[in-house]
This record gives sequence, structure tokens and C-alpha cells, in this order.
Amino acid sequence: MSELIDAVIDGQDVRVAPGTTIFEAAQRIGVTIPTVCHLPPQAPAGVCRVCCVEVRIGDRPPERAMAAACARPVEAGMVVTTNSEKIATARRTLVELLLADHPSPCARQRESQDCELESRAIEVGARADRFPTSGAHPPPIPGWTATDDSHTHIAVDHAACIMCDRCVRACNDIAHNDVIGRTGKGFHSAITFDAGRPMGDSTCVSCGECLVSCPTGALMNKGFGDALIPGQPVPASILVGLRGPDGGAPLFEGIAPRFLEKTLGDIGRNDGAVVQRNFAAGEVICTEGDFGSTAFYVMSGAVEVSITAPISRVRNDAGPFARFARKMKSLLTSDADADRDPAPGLTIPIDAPVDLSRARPVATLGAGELFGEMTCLSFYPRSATVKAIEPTVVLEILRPVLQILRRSKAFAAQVDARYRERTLETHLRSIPFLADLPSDFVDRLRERVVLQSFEPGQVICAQGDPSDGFYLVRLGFVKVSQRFPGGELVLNYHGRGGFFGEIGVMSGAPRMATCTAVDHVDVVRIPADEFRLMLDRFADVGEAFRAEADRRDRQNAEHGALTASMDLGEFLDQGLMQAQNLLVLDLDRCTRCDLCVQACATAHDGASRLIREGLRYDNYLVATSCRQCRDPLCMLGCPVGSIRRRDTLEIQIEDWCIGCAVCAENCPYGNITMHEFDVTDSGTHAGRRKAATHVKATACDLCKNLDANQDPSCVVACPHGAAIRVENPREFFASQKTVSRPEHS
Amino acid sequence: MALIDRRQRRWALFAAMGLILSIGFYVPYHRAAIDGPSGSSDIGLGFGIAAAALMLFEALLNVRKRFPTWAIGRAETWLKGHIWLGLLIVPLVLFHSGFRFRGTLAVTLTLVLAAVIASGIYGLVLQQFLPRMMTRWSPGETVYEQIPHVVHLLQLEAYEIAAAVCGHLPEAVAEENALTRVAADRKGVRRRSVPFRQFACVEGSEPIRRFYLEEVRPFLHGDGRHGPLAESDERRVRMVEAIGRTVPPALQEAVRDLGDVAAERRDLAVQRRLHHWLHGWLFVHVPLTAAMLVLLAAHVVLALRYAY
Repeated sequence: MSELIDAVIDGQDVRVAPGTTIFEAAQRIGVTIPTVCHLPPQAPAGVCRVCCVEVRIGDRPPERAMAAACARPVEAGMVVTTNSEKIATARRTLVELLLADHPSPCARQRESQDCELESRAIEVGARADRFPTSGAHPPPIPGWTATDDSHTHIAVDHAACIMCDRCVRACNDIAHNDVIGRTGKGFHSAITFDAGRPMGDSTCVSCGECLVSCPTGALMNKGFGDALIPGQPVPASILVGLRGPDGGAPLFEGIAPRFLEKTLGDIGRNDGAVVQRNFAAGEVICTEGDFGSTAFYVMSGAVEVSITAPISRVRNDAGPFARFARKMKSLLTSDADADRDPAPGLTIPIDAPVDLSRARPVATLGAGELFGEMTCLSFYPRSATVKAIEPTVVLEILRPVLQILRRSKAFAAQVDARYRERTLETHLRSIPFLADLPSDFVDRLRERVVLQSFEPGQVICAQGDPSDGFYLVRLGFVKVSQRFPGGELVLNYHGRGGFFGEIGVMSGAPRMATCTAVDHVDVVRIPADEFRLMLDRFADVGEAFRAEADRRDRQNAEHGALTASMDLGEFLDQGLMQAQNLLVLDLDRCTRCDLCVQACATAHDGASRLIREGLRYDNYLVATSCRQCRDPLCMLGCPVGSIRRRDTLEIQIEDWCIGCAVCAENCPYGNITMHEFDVTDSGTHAGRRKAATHVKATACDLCKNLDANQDPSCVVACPHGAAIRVENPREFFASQKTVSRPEHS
Repeated sequence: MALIDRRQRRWALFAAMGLILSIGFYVPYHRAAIDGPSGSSDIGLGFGIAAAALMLFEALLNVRKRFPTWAIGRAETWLKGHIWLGLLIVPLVLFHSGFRFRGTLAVTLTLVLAAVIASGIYGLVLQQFLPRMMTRWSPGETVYEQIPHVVHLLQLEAYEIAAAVCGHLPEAVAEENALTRVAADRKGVRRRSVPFRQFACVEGSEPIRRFYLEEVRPFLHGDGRHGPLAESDERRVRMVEAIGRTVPPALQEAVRDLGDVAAERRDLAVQRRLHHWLHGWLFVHVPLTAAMLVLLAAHVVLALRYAY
């Protein structure tokens, strides 16, 4: 062990080990040296110089330049003065210079009066207005903005940043995340995330170390105001030590405790971001179709997840006469493509780590399971009703905390492990082609699949990229689009249970389409080699995927050809360009008899799916009826995946719709309507049945459920030939003699 | 494009061929009949059966309309058949009777048939022109059943326009009360009322007040067919412009808006009137068809009872 060093600080003798800084030595004897940029246990940087002290070594004259106490090691015979008129003047000037590049008061000072720089200014008697303010920072790199609100929890205000380096050291040296760095020189310097990305788009894991390190309002905790939830708040001190039901790693491992404290109420505004709720057996935790903003983590007990809306009424049956007529017709014709729409999977995707069986939509979740993520992250309606089946304790979590959890490596590892262990198999089997995949191969995939998360707008794979795997959507919605000479065509949206990427992997060609996360998306990627191995080893699976790939290929080519022939600029305002099947009424022929509407109602249990009003183009009326848009925005956000595209690209709403109305709100043209259906409900008491009303979404299905080969009922029923189905609006309207400016009727 | 166009050609040809064929049967039969053609002769009876079958077919159009999902052909095809085969009934009935009508029942049946066909032709002629007129003359048309509701909304809109510049109008308290809106949430569970916002009277708005209370409001509450605002576009616009000149420039937009509301009301009145014309003939055609079928049944029964 090295010899100790003797020194004197403010007249007090001190003996310290070699390498000890003046700041540490002074602390030891109770002398406080003010600092701004220094925050133990971070290594000193000595950039602010506020901790300046006068130093004299032995009999030598005092050093001309003051030393930074945080960085200067103590030397033998060192005599240090930490407080003198000269030092006070220097510190005051240094703080005033820092204040010249700092808005005073900054946001933090305004909100919580704890901006360290401004506190220091008060201590040393510095005036914020002594030096003229430096004005706006010029951008150090292209695309840089002075404020960055992209992160879910942390607001960045570069104007308040004094380049103290504390966040950089916290991120790199303490948390070892290596996200924050410096860019630019001198007055042009600034902190950056991943060398120039907005913080929200960076690889930041929301550990919060930077936020708790920042001395000013440059990195601020975002509040979430009044969005508090009832229940027993779980304070940060308990939450930090909280472990999953298996007693493994703490849920919030790797997250700075002070950050949690700040997020959960240290500054008094976020109490109740996580609450503990206890449910007795039979108590309902959440109800399908309700809107919410929280997720639930089951601490103990078990819950039953179910869809209680009766599965019926949206798809319609043709009736006995038409069934008979179709049967007779089928004997006379051999149209193999009579019903090209394959039955959708046997499961209903919901916002939980399980899928529900269509035959019996009930499942159980136990301790350690997280559900309601989509509702919490993207504010989708609850997809199912959840009730406790035994005394159950859950943590109800608001979005900011869930975001922290999702970014936490430890928690993500825990959830992913559970997913691989419990859910992957059922999720894979929800794809009809993989329903019979042998268990040993599923076990093999369990170890080899990659679980990935994407933020809204992030590209999962781009058109032209090498095909590196097959993707299965686990959470959120993925947009699949293709570039054509005429513009971009949205081919589909995939929700939970949807899959993509098989065409490229099978053909070995680059990606044919770009897949983008519409909201918070989790996917399972089966690496290309494993996927090919699966296809080779199981002939029927390979055959099914090849048939599916051919079908998608054909479909994309057809629609690509159509898009290429159209100028996407036209009709854009009216949304008609998006339409691929428009109901147009020739008003010169239409006698307004409303037989089209009556036919629609007759074909659909008395609920018409068209309204004889809408845009007018000269003598043509574009009726309010589903246009089967090329970019079906209505498909986004369905919490149970009951709205989908048929093979022929028509929009189809399935019977298990829970009536949340998200699709109706998403439709820009008001073409999806909510209808009330009378049903006999079993109610909550066994043995009792009562009449009830359930709301379900309905949209024109082109009467494909009645007879796939027949024209829609509205067209068939029009005695005057005024109802026309138009598949290419631009071509149709261009072919008419005169088409005037549209007007609303 | 109207109902009778080139799309009808096949059916017209088919009906013409039917006519030629029946003439081809009738002429030699007429020449060969010693006592002249008779409905009870084999050929005459054949004509009668064909005419009766067509009458039944005509009536089946209504059945087709009631079961739109049945895969039994498009209603358009049925209507074409209804029109052209309906016309073919006339020569068939004449050939059946040999151009002689004897007996009260036969005469009544023939007269009712004539009325049915005449009303049908009348309706067809109306349908040929009125839809186009409605499209041109009533650009603000809505679903017929919605007209009262839309008129009510127009009444409220006019009040809002007038009250925004004239302030509270005690003469139109009904509109003000109605404007206390009821907003409902998505599932119609919670409702809340919003009081109508009160405005102050703007200087120079007196002409607007008078225009609203004396012209626009009575017009909106009436049938939309009487008064200067029901006049042609040109006259109505002149009137609105004249009132506009009596108010400060800042208030002229309110006058124009009131004029637009009145124009919409007029459009709806035109739509209602044309709608009545377009569908009113069915109140004659359909009951007469029903009567014709009853008479036909009686004719068949009596013919079978006494002729054989």
C-alpha cells in the first residue's frame, strides 16, 4: 500500500491516499467545495471549474492558476485554500458565464426550484444578467433541434444544457449504455444521442441515469399530469425491490432508483403511476371494448380472459332458398375459385400473451403475465374481458412506467423468456399452416427465434433489403407497402398473429415490400435458415407456404399493375383514389326508390350497410358504403383482429367483433357503421338468460358471404341499372362525358 | 342517359318478335274462323293463356323486389321484361278477344288492364325524365325520409346565422331552445346539454333581422313552395343582393348565408315535389294491378265454368 499524503485544506491537516482529489479530501474533513459538473461516483471531468481552489505546494509560491478541486489530486505538502475573495469572485464569474448560456429560470427551476446551477448562482451571488445571453445555439450537426420531445419520459432542452458532461458519463460510465455523446466544438457543442438521432429514436433504454445526473432543466422528467389511476400507489422504494412471482431478478433491475422515484412521485405529481389492486374471485378487472391507458401485471393469483360478446351477426347467411340455388348452380359449374377466401385462423388474437380459441374464447393467465400492453401503449380499446378466478393481486401500470419496463433489459429478458416458454407454441400454431408443426421443431425454434421490438414508424424491413427471416407479429400493427412507379401502395396491415416475409425467404430474392411499425410493435423473427429448414423438413408446411406466397405474389402484381396505371395525385383529396370498389349511383337513372338500401338491409339482418348520400360527381353519386380502400386504415387498431382483408382485398368484419368502434372512427369516409343487434345473453347468472343489445361494426362486404360469385345485393336489386360498382374510379370518371367538381349532397 | 336506352334493345326486339309471332298466328286464324275469332277457340284460348301468364309475370316483379338476395336474376332484367312483355299483353288480349269485348267482366278486365298499362307507361315516361330533373334542379337533395329532419336543421342554421348578428330573437325562441344541443358519447351513455351561445346585436343588422323574421323563417317553416324565396334562382339572388346592399359590408355574408339556407330549403321542396311525381303513379298502378289479377282470376274461373 502506498504511503499516505499529508496536506492542509483551509488550515486543517488532512491525510489521504495518493490519487485522492482535493474535493474528496475536503469532503472528508467537512469542507464543502461547490461544484456543478462533478457528481460522484462519476469520474471527474473538470469542465465547469466552479470548484476552483487556490493551491500552494510546500514553500513554493502559490500557483498562478487556480485548480479544479474535483480533478486535481492531492500532493504531499499541498496547502489548499477553498474560500477567499479571489476564489469567490472567480466562482461568481464562472457561474455567471454558465448562466449566460442557460435560460434563467430554466424549466426545472420553474417547476421544482432545484436547478443546481441556479442554486449555485444564489449561493455564490451570481447575477444571471451580468453577461448578455448567448442566444440560440446554432445546430452542431444537420437535423439537430434545440428541443427534443421524442422520448416518452425525458424531455431534452439543449438550451438549458451547460455541457457539464454529467449525462454523458452517467450513460457511458455508470449505466454502460453508450448512447449519449458530445458533438460540435466550442459554442457549437451539444450532447447527442447515438451520434445525432432524436432521443426517442435512439437506443436509449430509459434507465434514467442521465436524467438524475443532469444539474439543470436540460433533461427533464415528463409528467403525465392527471392520468392517475385509482388503487393503492406502489412507492418507488417498494417498486425498486419488487420481484416477479418466481422470485427472480427485480422487475426494475437496471433502472436508476432515483429515476423511478422521480417518475413515481418524487416531485409530487406522478403518485399513482403504479398501483396495486386486489381482486376477489369473480371480480372483473377490465371489460372488452372499454378504453383505457393501463397495463396489468399479475403478481399473484390467476385471471380468466374471455370475449363475452356473442360471436355472430356480422357475417350473414344467404338463407335456405339461395343456399339451395347455389347448390344447384355448383352442380352445373366447376368453378374452383368459387370461394377463394380461406377460413381465418382458429384463434382470436387479443392484447395478452395468449390467443383465444374461436370455438371457446376463454383462456387463463397466471402470475408473472403482463396484459393490456396495446391499450396502454397505443390506447386501443380493451380486447377482452378479464376477471379474477381466485384472489388476485395485480399491478396496474400507466404508460410511462410500462415504457420504462419495456426498455429495461432485465424485464424484457424475463418477459421474453416467459413468451418463449409459454406462448410461442400457441402463437405459431395460430397460423393455420403451422397448426400441426411437431413439438420437437417448436422446441428447436424456441431457442432460435429472435424477439424484436419496434417503435412507431420504424422500418422493420425495407423493400430491396436481403431477406433475413420470417416475421410473426406479436404485438401492434405492421404496415406492408410496396413502391411502384405510380406511388406507394399499402398492401396490407398485419395485427397480432399476422405474418410476413415468407416470399423473400423462400425465393432468396430481396424483400418485395417495406414493412413498417404503425405503433409499438413486437415481432418474432424466425431466421431464414430455420424457416427454410422447416419448409424442407415438413412438406405440407412448405407446400402451404408456397401456395400462400404465390397467392400474395399474384395479388401484389395485380394491384401493382393497377396502381402503376393511376396518377396518385388525383382523387387524393376525396379518397377516391384509394377506392378499389366504389358504389356509384347514376342519378339520371336512379328513381330514388331506395331498393338498393332495402336490399342491403334485407341481405344483412335488417341493418343496411349503405346510405344513399355522399359525394356527387356531376350526375354520379358516390354512396356512403365501404370502398374497400387500398390503404385500409380501418384495419388499424382492431383489438381483436376481427376486421381483415379477404384474398380479393375486400374488407371483412368477422363475427367476433366486440363493438369498440375503433374501425368506424378510423374510416376517413364514415363508411363503417355501428349497429345494435338484439341477442339473448346468458348474463352473469348461470341458468338465466335475458334479452340484450350488442353493438357491432358493419361494413359493406360486397355480399361475398351470400354468394361469392354474385354481384352485391344493391346492384342486383336496382331495377334501373343505376347502381354501379366501379373498380377503377379514375378510369370510370374519366370515361364520362363531363365530371364536374365534387360537391356534397 | 335515361331508362329507355340502347340497353333495352334486346327486350324490345324480343317483344317485337313476340308481336310478329302472335300476328303470324292470329291472321290465318282470323281468316279461317267462320264466326270470327273467339276467346274460347283453341288459338284464342292460347292467346288468353299467354296474356294471363304475362300478367302474372308482371306481378312477380314486386316479389322479385321483396327478395333481393335470391339468385333469380337482376331486378334490372326483371324490369325490362316487365316493360316489354307488359306491352306485349295488349295485342295478346286483343287477339284473345278477337277485338270484341262482350260481358261486363271481360270489359271491366280489359279496361282495368288498359288503365294498368297506361299508368305504367305514364310512370315510365316520368322515370325517363324526372330523375335527371331532380339531379339538376335539386342539387341539395337528401334521402326523402330525411327531408323533415334536414329542414329542421336548416331552421336552426338560419337562426344561428341571424342571431350571430342580430342578437337574441325572442320571436324565434323555439329555435333557440332546440339549439341547446345534446351531445352523446360513443355508446350514448352520457349526455350533456350545451346552452346556445348568446351574441350581441351588431349595428346595422336590422334589415337582416327583418329579412330573417319576415321572409326566411316563414319560408323555412312553410312548405318551401311559396313566397319570393321560392322563386327561380335569378329572382331569389336578386332579392338577396338587394337586402345585402342595405347592410354594412361586414354583414353581407350573413345575408348571403341566409339566402343559401333558403335555397337549400327550396331544393328540398323541389325534391319533395318531384319525388311525389316520380312515385305517385305507383299508387294507381299497383292497386290496379292487384284488381286486374282478381278480375283475371274471376275471368278464368268463369271461362272454365261456362265455356267447357
